[in-house]
Amino acid sequence: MIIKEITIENFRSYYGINTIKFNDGLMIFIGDNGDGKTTFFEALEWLFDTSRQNMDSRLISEKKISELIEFESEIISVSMTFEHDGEKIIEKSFAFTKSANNEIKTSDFQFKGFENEGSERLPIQGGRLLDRCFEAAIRKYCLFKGEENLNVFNNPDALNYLIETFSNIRQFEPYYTGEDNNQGFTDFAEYQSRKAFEKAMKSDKQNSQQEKEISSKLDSLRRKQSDIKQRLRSNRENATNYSTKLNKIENSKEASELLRDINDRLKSFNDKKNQIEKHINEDYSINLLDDMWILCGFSNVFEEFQQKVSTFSKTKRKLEREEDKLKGKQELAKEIAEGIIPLSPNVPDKISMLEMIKDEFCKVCGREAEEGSEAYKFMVNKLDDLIKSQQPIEKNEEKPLFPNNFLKELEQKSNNLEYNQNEINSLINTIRDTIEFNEARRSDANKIQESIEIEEENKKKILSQNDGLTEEQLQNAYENIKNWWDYRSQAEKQVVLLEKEENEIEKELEKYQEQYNNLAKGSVADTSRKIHSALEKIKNAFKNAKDKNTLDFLKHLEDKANQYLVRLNVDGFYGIIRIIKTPDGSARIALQDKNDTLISSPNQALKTTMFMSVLFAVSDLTALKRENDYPLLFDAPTSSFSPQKESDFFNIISDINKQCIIFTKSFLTESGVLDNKKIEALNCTIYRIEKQRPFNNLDISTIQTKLTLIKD
Amino acid sequence: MNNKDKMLQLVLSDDKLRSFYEYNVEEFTTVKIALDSDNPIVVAVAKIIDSIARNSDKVNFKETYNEVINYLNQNIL
Amino acid sequence: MVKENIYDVWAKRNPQFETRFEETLLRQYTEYGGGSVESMSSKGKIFGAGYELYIYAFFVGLYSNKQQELIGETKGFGQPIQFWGNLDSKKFRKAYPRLREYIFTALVAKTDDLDLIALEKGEITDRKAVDYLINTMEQYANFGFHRIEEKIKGNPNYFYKNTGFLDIVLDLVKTNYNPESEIIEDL
Repeated sequence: MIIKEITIENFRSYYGINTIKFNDGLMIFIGDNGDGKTTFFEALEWLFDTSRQNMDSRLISEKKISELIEFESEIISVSMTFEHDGEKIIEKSFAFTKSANNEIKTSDFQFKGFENEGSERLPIQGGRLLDRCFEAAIRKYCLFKGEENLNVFNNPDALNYLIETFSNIRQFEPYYTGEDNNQGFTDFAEYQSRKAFEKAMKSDKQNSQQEKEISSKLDSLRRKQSDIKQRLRSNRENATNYSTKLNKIENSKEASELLRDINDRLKSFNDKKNQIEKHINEDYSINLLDDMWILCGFSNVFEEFQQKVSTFSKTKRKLEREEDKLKGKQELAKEIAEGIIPLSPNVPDKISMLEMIKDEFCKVCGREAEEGSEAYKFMVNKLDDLIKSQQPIEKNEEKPLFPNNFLKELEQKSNNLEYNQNEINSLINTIRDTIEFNEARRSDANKIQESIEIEEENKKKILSQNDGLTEEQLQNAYENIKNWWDYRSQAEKQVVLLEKEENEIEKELEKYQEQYNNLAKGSVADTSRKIHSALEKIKNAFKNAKDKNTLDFLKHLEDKANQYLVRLNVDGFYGIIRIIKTPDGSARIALQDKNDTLISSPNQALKTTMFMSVLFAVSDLTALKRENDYPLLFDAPTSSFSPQKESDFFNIISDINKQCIIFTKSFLTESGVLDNKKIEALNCTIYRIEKQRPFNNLDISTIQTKLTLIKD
Repeated sequence: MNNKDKMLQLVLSDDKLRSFYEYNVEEFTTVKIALDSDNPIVVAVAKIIDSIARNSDKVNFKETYNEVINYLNQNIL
Repeated sequence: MVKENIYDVWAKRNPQFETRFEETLLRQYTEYGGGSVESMSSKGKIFGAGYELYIYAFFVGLYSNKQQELIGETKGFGQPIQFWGNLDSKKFRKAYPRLREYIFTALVAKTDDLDLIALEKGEITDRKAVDYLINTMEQYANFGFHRIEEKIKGNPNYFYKNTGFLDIVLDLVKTNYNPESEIIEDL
């Protein structure tokens, strides 16, 4: 079967109709995470799903949904045209409609097929056509999603399927199973014939005593044997389970260490970021008041104020001076009006004046001055003036020009606030500095946030690669390892002990069985004995034949796989693949070096090559068997490869004569651009898968995958 | 050589079976030939393979068993 | 009788604002109508008491050098000027009493109607003088409020970004400086 064309319409990020033509060699789709690689895969998985009619509206392209108007309908579909005894088509689709309240209703599910019959194209039910040409069992070995799903024996039924499908001799199951339940014919026959034999023995009265002893011994031994078998089974299971767990953890020891480092770095980044953010204070509105930033433009105003105050002061003093001058002039005028300039008050002196008044005689002019006379009054007045002039000067009872002194208050304000002018003047700088400081801290914090996001991405990657292990398990790797190691050792020790016991019991059983058989010789039960003995040997013959068949097949598969391994790992170390049957009926793939030592923990890239070699081998077997080849589809199988190894790898695969389709994120540079040099070195068809730009990471209805043919 | 024949060859080549019941495994290349053999074990194996191949359901076990037992009863030495 | 300072007379007053700003501005950005200044951060308001926005508006008017007469109904705040800025210094805020003095000096500088000589002579009472000062204050603040309202009409979330209030002041200050001096960077 060869895929010729695939069309995806409105399936998740594949908006509208997207058609890709395939050739029958290697084809590579290059795309980064989230661009649509895995979605392509999932579209195919949806197409191939014959178990149910999946009309989940979450499969529909959000972009298409956002464009629908009310009551408008559209189709979502995936179809594949392929060559398989003539050209055929399968197509799955359903319709979707936007209802009144913006909900999406789905309807009209269809799964159609078409095949060419002569010149006619016949319709056929899609699931039927699919099962006929590309049934589930084969698909399991054709589609591989992710590097961790390449181990074909992860599925416990795989070995049986492979043997049934590809081994030399099929259908051993009905003949022999080796279980206690007699599902195989020879198990059944041996059991029945034994029962018949024992019955014959018991009916023979001759040896009844010994028969009883031996047969009861045999019964108890057989019970023990069955019991041991069961315990063996469960201990082997435990040992395998813990081995698997340990392997996972062992292989992820690196991951667990990486995880530890990442978590340490994350903690330190977050601490740093918090430290920085602590220093950011962007309460600018509050600063306006509390730190008086609002005064940053106040200088001019303050100057005006000071001017006004100064003008006020000057004006006041000028007016005061004028007033004083005026007052002085008035007094002078009064004096001039009176004409006589009086003597100074101190002349004559006080004592003389008192004497003269007492004597009622003016001693200056030598005349009498009787009490009551004008001369007497003059003398008294003069004395009054003298006394008055010696008193402290009283305030004028006249109203002053300026009863108030607000000027003083204003001058005080002017001086006090002047003191802070420098600070005020430099406020603009303070503001700018603060803002710059905050912005610098913000940008530092943002840089750290970017680092934090990168580490979180890395953490996600590690966790996704270590599927099946939670972050806790990875972190507690060391504790788990110890426990699981202990449990496994215990189980393994038990297995050894039990196997020894099993052997011993088998030997004892043989011994007693022989005694029992000897007892039968010569008696009527002898024929029964012979028959039973024959059927027992036949049963063992079938057992051995079945085992040999399986081992032959595994060897065959091994050889084929190793042929591929040599090719895929050219120039690198590869070792030898061994496919080992496990007691629980499955198998595991291991690697040995040339000294036959098992390589216990091959690195991921080597494992991938190993698994892919087995898959190519299985595909070969399928091709042989079905006389029809099938394509192999891999989703990101080489994420653990080095870039050089990848290029070599793809070139080798393109030489293998198979249709092989690989989705990968290789050949992209760090900035997400194609590495043209590497692409030139590849010789196969290459498509680019990417998100159509522009798009908004937060709005899924802007996401649309674009497919571009890069190389043919 | 079809599946039955291949199975026959592989089962008959079992060492223990072969040495105990003394037959020449190369003689019996097909189930058809083996059914005609003198060796009762060879015939028994052939009968088993043939019958179960025709119907591998457990319901067929009893019948096949009876057939084989009757045959061995009469022919085993 | 010792005469009171003009400053003290002024500080006892409670300036008025147009009532409509209570709903449109004070309730948006301040605790006006409930709560103490210190609890403002928990309620998400930017300023505490209503007068804080009033002070801001005043400076907007002052730096724009534009006054606007009050029209219609007016009201005052819960506290006279003398208490403005007296915050209990708690975790998030500081007291800023000196800002009152600066406002006072601005009013003195800008109130041309007030004849200081007449005041000094006692020809007008201190009460009358303070009336003039308060009038200037109210008209600057009123212009400021109108300006803020205009800004919100154009961009309702403008004042919720942390540099909103600051930017307007810086812009006004920038245009008041003469071109030769340094230019303040836009934020």
